[in-house]
Amino acid sequence: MQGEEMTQATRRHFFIEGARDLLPMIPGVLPFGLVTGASSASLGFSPEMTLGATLLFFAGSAQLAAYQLIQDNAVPVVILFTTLMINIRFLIYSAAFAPLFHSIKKRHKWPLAYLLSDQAYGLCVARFAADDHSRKKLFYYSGAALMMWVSWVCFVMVGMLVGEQIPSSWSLEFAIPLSFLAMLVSVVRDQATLAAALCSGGIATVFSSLPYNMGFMAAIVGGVAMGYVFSGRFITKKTGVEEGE
Amino acid sequence: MNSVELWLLFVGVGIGTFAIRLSFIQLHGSLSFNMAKCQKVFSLLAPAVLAALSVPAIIFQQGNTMATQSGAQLVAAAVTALWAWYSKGVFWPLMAGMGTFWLIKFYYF
Repeated sequence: MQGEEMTQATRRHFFIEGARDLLPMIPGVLPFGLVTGASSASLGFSPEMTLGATLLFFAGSAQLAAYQLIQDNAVPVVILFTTLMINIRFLIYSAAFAPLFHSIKKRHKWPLAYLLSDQAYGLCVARFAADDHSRKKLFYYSGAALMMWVSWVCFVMVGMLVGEQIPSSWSLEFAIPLSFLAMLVSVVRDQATLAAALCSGGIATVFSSLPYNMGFMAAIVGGVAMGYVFSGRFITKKTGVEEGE
Repeated sequence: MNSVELWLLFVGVGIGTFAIRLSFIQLHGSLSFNMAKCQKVFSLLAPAVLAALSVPAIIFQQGNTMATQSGAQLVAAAVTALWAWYSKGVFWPLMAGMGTFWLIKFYYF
């Protein structure tokens, strides 16, 4: 499949198909982009700063997490750690797309890697087989990923313009922890994730006044550990040879 | 943080995020790890990080807010959490929560 020839028309066809398939996801992306932009405005960031963060991150929940922690006067290293923990899921997408990107030039590889998103990954998984590493999939991915990027940047900037009109007495910044709460509810699926959430939330609250955000970091470590203990207790352990650690 | 420090932070996060995205794509073949095991830790990381970010910020007051509004924040959070539980979305629970928050805040304070 690697070296197959494709006409310009076929390439365009798959690129456009990818871009088009992203359109139904816009209703989910739009509000999140608006919230991110409006939060940026409520924290008083300039348009250049907002655009800079949006382009550099290209990851909404990490951007909101950074805003929350900046507001809490967190130390920069904690903000860096937290945003990277939130983005660690891209590791899975990177591994999934590695064979697909293997044969392409570096000058194409890097931009396409930058464009990785939950949405583009999800569309490719839904449309193509996991072991399909064809050019068709590559062009489909490119179309979807680029459409996602353009939409995201536009929506954040629109959200910022709207947010700038909202007076600070409305405490718009409260939308940040509230949106994390809504996300939290949607990721709690079983006892293990519930245990992780309860443990982490409890530690973070009780130790919130410790210096250098030690309470926050302890909460994440404690939450994951608690979830791990719970998942080991209630779910039968997998057997098999573990490799590559 | 001043604006230079903020820019440095944003660039740092940008580089780190790009490195994560590029990792396997760049090092294809020379990296291998147990995906199933990592996925389990990742699935626990999400609730832990989200809870640590949201729970204290909802319980305590923050930012440049005016009057005491902890009560409003807690009620709004309850509305958001319940709505999210039943609808499984993020946007409408957030709207319902902010609506509740503003209603209480402007009606009682």
